[in-house]
Amino acid sequence: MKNIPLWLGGTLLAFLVFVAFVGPHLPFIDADLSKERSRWVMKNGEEKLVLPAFKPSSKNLLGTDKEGVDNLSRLVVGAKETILFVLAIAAVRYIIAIPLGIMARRKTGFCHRLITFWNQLFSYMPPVFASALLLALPFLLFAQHRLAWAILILASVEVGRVAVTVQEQAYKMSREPYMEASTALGLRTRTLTKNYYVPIMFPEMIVNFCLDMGKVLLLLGQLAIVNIFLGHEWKEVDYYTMEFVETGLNWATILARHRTDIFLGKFEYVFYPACAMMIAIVTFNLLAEGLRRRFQVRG
Amino acid sequence: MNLKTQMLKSTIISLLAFSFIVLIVLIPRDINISLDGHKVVADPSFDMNRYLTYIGDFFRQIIEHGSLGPSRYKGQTAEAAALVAVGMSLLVIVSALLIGFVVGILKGVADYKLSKTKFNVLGHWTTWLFQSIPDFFLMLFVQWFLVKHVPAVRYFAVEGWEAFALPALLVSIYPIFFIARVTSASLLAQEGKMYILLAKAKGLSDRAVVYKHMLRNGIAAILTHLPGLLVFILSNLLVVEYYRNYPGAAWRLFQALDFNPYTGTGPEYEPGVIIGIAFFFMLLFLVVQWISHSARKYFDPR
Repeated sequence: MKNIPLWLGGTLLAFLVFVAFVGPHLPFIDADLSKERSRWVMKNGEEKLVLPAFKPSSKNLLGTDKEGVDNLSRLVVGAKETILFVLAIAAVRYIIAIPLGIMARRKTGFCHRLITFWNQLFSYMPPVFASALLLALPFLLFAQHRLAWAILILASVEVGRVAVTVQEQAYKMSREPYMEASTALGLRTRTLTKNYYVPIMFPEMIVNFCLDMGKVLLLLGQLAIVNIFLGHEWKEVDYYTMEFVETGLNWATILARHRTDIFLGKFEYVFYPACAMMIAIVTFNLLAEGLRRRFQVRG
Repeated sequence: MNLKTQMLKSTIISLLAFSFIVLIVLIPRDINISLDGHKVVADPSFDMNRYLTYIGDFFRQIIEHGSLGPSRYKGQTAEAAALVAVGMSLLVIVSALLIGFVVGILKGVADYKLSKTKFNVLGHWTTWLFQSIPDFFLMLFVQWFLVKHVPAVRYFAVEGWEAFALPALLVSIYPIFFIARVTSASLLAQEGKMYILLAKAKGLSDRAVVYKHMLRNGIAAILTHLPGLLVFILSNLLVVEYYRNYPGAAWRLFQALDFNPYTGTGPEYEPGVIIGIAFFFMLLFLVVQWISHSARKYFDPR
């Protein structure tokens, strides 16, 4: 049977990548996100001055926000950063977790205890609480490389879980007859890793990686709902009034900016970024499902 | 491993992990803001001495007064604030756990049965789809729908049936599909096994085979996911409580963090409340873990 999820996921991913990298250069996208403070509109035969937010029209397909910035452009311009964030966080997570998990494959020793502890540490705390607790530490708020720290924190919050999955897999593998044979043959660790561990573990790893990208994006959305940003600067916004101003142009910041609209019963501005995030999460999950079928990994 | 040793081990690890969380919560979060000419300058540096004082004070308070310290409200201690908040959410958490588990298994069985028919799309694919939609989007959609189109339901109610039924139902959506997926995977894995063939050869009905043989056999594997289910529930709880402005445990935890975009952590930071609620979360997790362990022992003594 044809692998529908893989095709769908692949197509959606191609679309996302296209939007992220080519999107800002499309003619109907305003890459500078310029603010349109007012607009003359023909109404009943006479010109009238209209103030933003403008309703969806042929000029602004999704309308504009209260400052007159085109909603669609904001989403398209934010796509690249969002996807790169997600990729970076998931990659850092796996770069830390895979070696730890493989080193702990015998289920004894320091690494085993470390990842068991790490896994338990944040297991009863949903990732969003743990990340909020850590991201709000003062020396991280003002850190010079705040973004790098934020990525590291979001990655490490779930390193334990990923490492335990890797460990479980490596443990199961190490008990297979072919692994015993290779050990008996006296293969070096490097050869073992290259010819045994990597090819056998890769399929499941890549499936889990895709699922984790979805989880990371979910976490970013949840953090945005409670108004915690990854990258920001402490700027003077008024006389002697300093404020953390988000520097990034990603979907999470759009969500954060409009989150109070929820209480006012105004949903449109929150819906757009939430929708974009949902499409991305569904893409990653479809890809995972498709790859799982492709590699015949049992879910 | 012996059941008691296993329980003891998970308890010790949980307590260790919890003390680590306490240490993170107690890190000093106040920053010195001063004026350098006309420029506002912040000094966020980490002060070890202050940190040690905070830790000392906190434990002294526990030992001498048996209290976690004051909360932001006059006359209310942190542990009382944590208890009130937890009390607001406890019923929701427990009922979401039950609904998620029971309805999830039923949905899993339905998925499994549908996968044999041409309505497969209704089974596994709906489960998959609901698992893929991010919680903040789904809750937003439900809220929009209820607020705009079903005004009879008081979405923001803090008392009455809506206060309990709405969050319990919303929070149990993800657990249902999570358990459904695990259940149907476990049923599919048992297909073609000898005991299933035997049961069918004996002429048992499909229903009897699924419920008495397959489910009974797979329940141990499903139960291992119970603690994970709880984490799902807690993280959904935050979104639901935040959207509804409902002062439950997750909402109160964030209030206690007192995060604002001006100075990061504000002056109303309540370490006692955070520690109290985190302790309750750990306790709940531990209890669920124990239930899961002993139920597994009971259903699958191998």
